[in-house]
Amino acid sequence: METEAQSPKYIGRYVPQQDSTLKVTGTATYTFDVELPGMLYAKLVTSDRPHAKIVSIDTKESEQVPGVVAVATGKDFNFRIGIYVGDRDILAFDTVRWIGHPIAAVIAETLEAAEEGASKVHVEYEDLPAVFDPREALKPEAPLLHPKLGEYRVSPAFKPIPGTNIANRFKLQRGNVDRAFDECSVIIEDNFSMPYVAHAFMETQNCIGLYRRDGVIEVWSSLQSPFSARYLMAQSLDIPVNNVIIHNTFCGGGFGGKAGLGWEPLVAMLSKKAGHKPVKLILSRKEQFTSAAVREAFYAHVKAGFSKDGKFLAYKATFIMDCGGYGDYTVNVSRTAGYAADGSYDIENLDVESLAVYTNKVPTTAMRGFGYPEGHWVLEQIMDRAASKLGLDPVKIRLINLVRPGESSTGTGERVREDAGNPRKVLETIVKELGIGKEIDKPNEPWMVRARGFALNVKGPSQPPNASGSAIMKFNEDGSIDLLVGTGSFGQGTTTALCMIVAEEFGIPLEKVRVPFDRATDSEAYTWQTVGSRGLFVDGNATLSAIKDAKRRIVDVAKQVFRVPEEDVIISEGKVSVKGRPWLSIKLSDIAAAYTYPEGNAIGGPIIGAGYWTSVLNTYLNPETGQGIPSIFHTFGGTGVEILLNLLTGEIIVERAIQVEDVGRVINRLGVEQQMDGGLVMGMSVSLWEKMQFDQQGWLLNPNFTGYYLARFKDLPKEIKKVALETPQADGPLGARGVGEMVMISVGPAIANAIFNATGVMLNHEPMTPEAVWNALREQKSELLNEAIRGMKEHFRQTEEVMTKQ
Amino acid sequence: MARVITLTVNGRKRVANVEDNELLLDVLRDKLGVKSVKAACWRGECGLCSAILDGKAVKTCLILAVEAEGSEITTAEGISEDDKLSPIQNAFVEYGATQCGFCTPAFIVSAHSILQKNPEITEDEIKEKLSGVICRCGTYNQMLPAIKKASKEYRRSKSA
Amino acid sequence: MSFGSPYFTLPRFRYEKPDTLEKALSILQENKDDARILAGGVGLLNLMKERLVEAKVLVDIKGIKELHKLEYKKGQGLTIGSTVTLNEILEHPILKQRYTALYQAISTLSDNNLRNRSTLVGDLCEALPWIDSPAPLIAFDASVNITGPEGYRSVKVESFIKGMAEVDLAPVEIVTSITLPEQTDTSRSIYLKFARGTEFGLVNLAVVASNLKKYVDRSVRIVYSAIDTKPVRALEAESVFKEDLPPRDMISRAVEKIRDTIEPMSDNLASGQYRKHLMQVMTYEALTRIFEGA
Repeated sequence: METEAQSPKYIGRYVPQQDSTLKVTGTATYTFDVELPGMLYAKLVTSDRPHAKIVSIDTKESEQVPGVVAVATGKDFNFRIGIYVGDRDILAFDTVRWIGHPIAAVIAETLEAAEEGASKVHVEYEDLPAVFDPREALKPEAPLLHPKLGEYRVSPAFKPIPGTNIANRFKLQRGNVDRAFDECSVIIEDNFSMPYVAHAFMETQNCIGLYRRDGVIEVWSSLQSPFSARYLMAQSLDIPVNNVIIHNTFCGGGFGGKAGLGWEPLVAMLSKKAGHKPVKLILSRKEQFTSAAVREAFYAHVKAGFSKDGKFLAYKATFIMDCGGYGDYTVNVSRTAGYAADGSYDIENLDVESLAVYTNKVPTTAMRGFGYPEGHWVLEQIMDRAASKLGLDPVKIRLINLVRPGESSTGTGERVREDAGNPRKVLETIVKELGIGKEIDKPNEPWMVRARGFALNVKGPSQPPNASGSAIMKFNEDGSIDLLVGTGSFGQGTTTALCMIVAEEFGIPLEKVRVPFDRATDSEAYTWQTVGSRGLFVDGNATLSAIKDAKRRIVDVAKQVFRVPEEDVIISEGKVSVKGRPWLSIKLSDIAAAYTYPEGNAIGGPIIGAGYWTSVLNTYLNPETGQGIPSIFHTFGGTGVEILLNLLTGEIIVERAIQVEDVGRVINRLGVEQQMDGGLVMGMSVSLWEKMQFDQQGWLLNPNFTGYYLARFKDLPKEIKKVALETPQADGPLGARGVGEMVMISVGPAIANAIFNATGVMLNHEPMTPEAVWNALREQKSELLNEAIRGMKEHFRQTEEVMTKQ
Repeated sequence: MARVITLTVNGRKRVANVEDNELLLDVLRDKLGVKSVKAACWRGECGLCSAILDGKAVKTCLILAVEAEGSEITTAEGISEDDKLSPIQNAFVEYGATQCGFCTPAFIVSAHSILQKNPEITEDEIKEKLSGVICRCGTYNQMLPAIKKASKEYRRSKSA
Repeated sequence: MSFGSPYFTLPRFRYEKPDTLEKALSILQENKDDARILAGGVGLLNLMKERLVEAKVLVDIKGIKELHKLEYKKGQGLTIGSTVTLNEILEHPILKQRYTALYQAISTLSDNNLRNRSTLVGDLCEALPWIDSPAPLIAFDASVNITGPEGYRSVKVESFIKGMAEVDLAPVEIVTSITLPEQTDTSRSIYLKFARGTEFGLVNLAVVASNLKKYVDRSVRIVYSAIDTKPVRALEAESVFKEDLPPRDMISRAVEKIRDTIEPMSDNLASGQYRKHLMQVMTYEALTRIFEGA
C-alpha cells in the first residue's frame, strides 16, 4: 500500500477551528452551563487564618437555614491526595495552611441558601506561627507546614525532605563548575525573582459530582486532563478506575491551572452525602484567587561564567519556588526548572539546585511554560549582560553558545537529536524580522526611548517517561469518521489539527471528520494528560497510528474485492483503488461499513482503527545528578520586541513583536498563529503587570481584576509578526512539535533585554511595572532620568516660546 | 418579593418569575436558558456577562432582573438570522478569533453593538471600546481584523 | 482594592421604582438607613454582593423623568441629571468642546459596556479615592444638587466628598443633578490619568484654567484624585498663577509647590514617592498643554 504524493489540502493551511461556530453563537456547552435534574449547589467555607489548628467547627446554625441539605467538613474525607506528593486534604481536617483554605462545604437546594448556610458555619481556631517567604521557610526555626511529610505518598521522581518545608529538591550536576569559574573572564552573579501570578482562566473552576447508586461516580468539570482527574479520584477513593466517569466538556481556559488537582473528589463525596443527588460547585473569582491553585513565586540566585571569547563555561544556580500550602504540580515545576536551567545553550559545567518550599499562602500548580519562563527570565537576561561585558552583541554570544542539534547534549546529558529543530535559524529570523542592527526611529519626545530586544526559548513537555496516548477512529457508513481522543479542549485547537491529519490521510473533506464535542472518559481514548504542549505530538502520533490500523483493515478487505496483492491497494482522495489500474476504484463509503458485491453478498465490516503512542526513549532522571532523558521533544523559538520606554514614568509599551518557533511541521497555521499571538499577549501581561500581592498577615490584597490587571484589547501591540519554521522531527506527527507554551516563555526577557540594550538598566524582578522600572532607573541610571526631566522642560519650553510669540 | 417580569429576549417575548434580588445574569441563564451569557468575575470587571439591552451593550451581573422589565435583550444566540451566521460571527470563525471561546459571546455582542452604532469605527476605537471584556487566551489580534472585516458589512447594511 | 466577593447572590431586599421625586423621597423617609438609591447600580450592587452595604429597600430612580436631564444653557452652564449614563454625557457635543477635562475623564472611566449603564452621580457618590469624576468636577467648580425632606440644597463637589466612601448626603436625600458652571471662550481644561497596566489611575489630574493671558483675571484650578483618601486641590500651586510671570516660570514654580506641599498616599497600586514623581511630571505636562492651547 502507498499514498500518492500530492500537495496537502489541509496540512499547513489556515483552517478555522471546528468548534468555532458553536462558540460564536454562544451554543458551546461548558461545565458552567450544565444543569442536571435535581441538582444541588455547594458553597465553600474557607479559612481566615494563615496557619491554625481547627479546634471545632459548628455547623448547627448552618444546617437550620431553609434549603440547606447537609454540611460537609474535613472529617468526611479522611484521606490525602496529590498528583506527585500526596500532601493535600479535600477539606482541612485538622490544620488550615493559608487564608482561603477550604474548611467546609454547605450543600443546599439553591445557591442562595448554600451561600447563606456558608455564612453560618462557625470555626474555632488555635493560631500557629505562619511563614510567608520561602527563604524564611527554609530556616531551621521556621514553622513546619507538613510535620507528617515523611508519611505522604510520593511519586518516584520527587524528593520531599521530611522535617523541613521542602516539598521537592532537585539537583542537576554536570562537569565541575568551581573549576570552570576559575577559567572565566566574565562572571555575572545576581538575584532574580518572579511573583505569584494567577492563571486567570475566564471560566472559574466548577464541577458537578454525581455519586450514583451503583457506585459509579460521574463528574462534569472544567478541566484540562480528564484521565488524570479520573485516576486521582479512583485512587483516593480506592475504587476501580472505570467506576469514575469524567465528562470532558468545553473548558473556558486552563493554562495549566486545570491540570492538577481539582474539586472533583469533593463534589463526588458531597453528592454521596446529599443522598446521591448531583452537586455543583462554582468558584467565585475571589475563591479562584484564594482557595484554588496559582503559579508559584520564584527566587533565583545565580552565578554565570564566560570565557573571554564568549563561551558560556559555568552556571551555578539556586532556584527557590514558593509553592504555598500544597505542592501539587509545583514539585514538578521545580524539577523542570532545574533540569532545563541551561535553556538553548550548550553549557559544559552546571550545578543547579531547585527547591519547592511550603509557605502559608495559596497553593500553586503548573502554568503555561512550567518552569521554563522562570529559568529563561534569568538566563536570557544573563546572555545580554554577558555580551555587553564582553563587548559582543547579543546575537553573537548566542551563536557561540547555542546547542547544535546532532552534536550537543543538554544539561541532563541528552544528545540533542539532529532533527530537533534549528535554533540558529530561529535567531537569524528574529534578527531579520525585528531589524536588529538597523537604525531605530527616534520618538519626538526626548523622554521617550524606542528599543529592541529579544530572547530565545526552548521547551519540551515535562512528563513521566511512560506518559502515553491513544486514539480510536470509527468509520461511519457514509465514509465519515468519528475520531475519539482524550485530549482536553480548552482553546488550543488540537482536536481540529487531529481531524485535519485524518482528513488529509484519507483525502476526504474535513467536514467528514469530527472529534465529538461532548465526550467522557468511558467513551474516548486514553491520554495521560493535556499539558506541556504534548497534545498534538502524543495524540497526533496516536491518531496516525490509528489511521495506519484503519488503513490496514481497509486494505484487508480491498485486496479481496480487487483480487490484488495488498501492496497494490491505494487509499487516497476518499477512494480505494489499485495501483496502475485507476478504473479499479471504489469509494471509501463503499467499504466503510462492509463491502457489498454486486450480487449482494458482503465482506468486511465497520472499520475501526486504534492506535497509541508512548515514548520509548524517555527515562527517569538520576536522583543525584539529574542526568537522563526527560522530554519527548524540544521546540526552539524566540521573541523579539520593539518597545517604547517612557523614562519619566517607567511605562513600557510594546509596539511591535516577532514570534518565531520551529514547530517541525505546521498542521493548522491558524492554530499556530493563535498560540503565538495569544502567548505574546499573556507573556506581556504576566511580565509587565501581573502580581498577586500579599500583606504581612498573608491576606491577598488583589483578588479581583481591578487590582490584578490582565492585558486588555487596548494593550495589543500594533504589529505582531509570526514565523513558523519547519524542521521536521522524524518521530513527530507528520514532523510536528508542540508550540502552545513556548510562545510566552521569552516575552518577559525580550522586553527586559530591550530596556537593558537601550539604557543599561537591569530588571531582575517581574513584573516590570512602571514603578518598578522607574525605581530601577533611579537606582541604576539616575542621570537618564534627570536628562529626561531636562528634556521634558526643554521640549515644553520650545512649545512655550511658540505660544509666547503668538 | 416575587414578581413576574416580561422581556423580549432575542426577538421572543419571555416571562419570568423573579425575586427582587435576582440578577439579570442569573435570570437569563437559569430561568430563561440563555447560556451564552457567561460570567467570570461577577463584579463588572471581565465583561463576560455582556448582553445588548435596549440597543446598548451592558454587563448583566450588575443589573437586577426587575430593572430589565419591558426591555429588549439580544445575546449571541440571537444575532444570527435564519440559521445563517451574522457577519461578525462569520468573521470571528474565519479569522480564528476564538480560542477557549468562553469570552466569545461577550465579544460578539459588544462588537455587534459598537458596529451597529458606528461601522466607520477606527482600529483604536475598537480597541478602546472592547477593553471592558477580557480574553485571557489573548485572541485580540485575531478579533481585530475580524471586526474590521465585519464592519464593511455593517456599513453596507447601514447605507442600504 | 482587596474587593472580591465569595458570594454570587445578593441578599434579599424590596425593589421600588417610583415615577416621581416626591414618591422616591417618601420611600426614603419611610425606610431611612434601610434604603439605598439605585441608578446605574455598578457600585451599589457590588458592595451589596460583598455584604459591605446592607439595604432592605432599593429605590430605583430611573423612572423619574426629571432626573434624566442633560442640558446646556448658554451663560448658565451644564446640568447633568443623576440618571444620565456616562455614555449619554459623552455624546453631548458641548462636553468635548467646553468641558474637555470631564470629557477626557469619562472617556477613561471604566469601560464602554459599563459606561452604558453607570452614571456620573453614581461614580461621584461611590467616593473611592481612585475614581475619575471628582478631579474634573472640582476643577470646574461643579455643584451637587440635592433634594430632601427639608427641600433643595446645593453643595460644591469639593465639600460633597468628605472622605473615603463618604459623602455629604443623608439617607433621606437624593442627588438630582450636577451643575457645571458656564465656561468662557478663554477657558481651557485637561484631564490626565496615569493607568498603564492598572484599571484605576495611580494619579488622576484635572486642570481647568481661564483668562490665561490676563493675569488679573487669570484662574487656574488644579485637582488630583487617587493620591489621597479624597481628592486634593493644589491651592498653593494655583496661587502661583495670580502673579504676572512668564508661563515657563509659573509652571516650574507650580510644580515645585506641588512637590513641596502635597504628600500622596501609598497603597498597593503605588508608593507615595512614585505618585509624587508622577504628579510633578503630569502637572508639568498638563500646565504646558493648557498654556499651549491658550
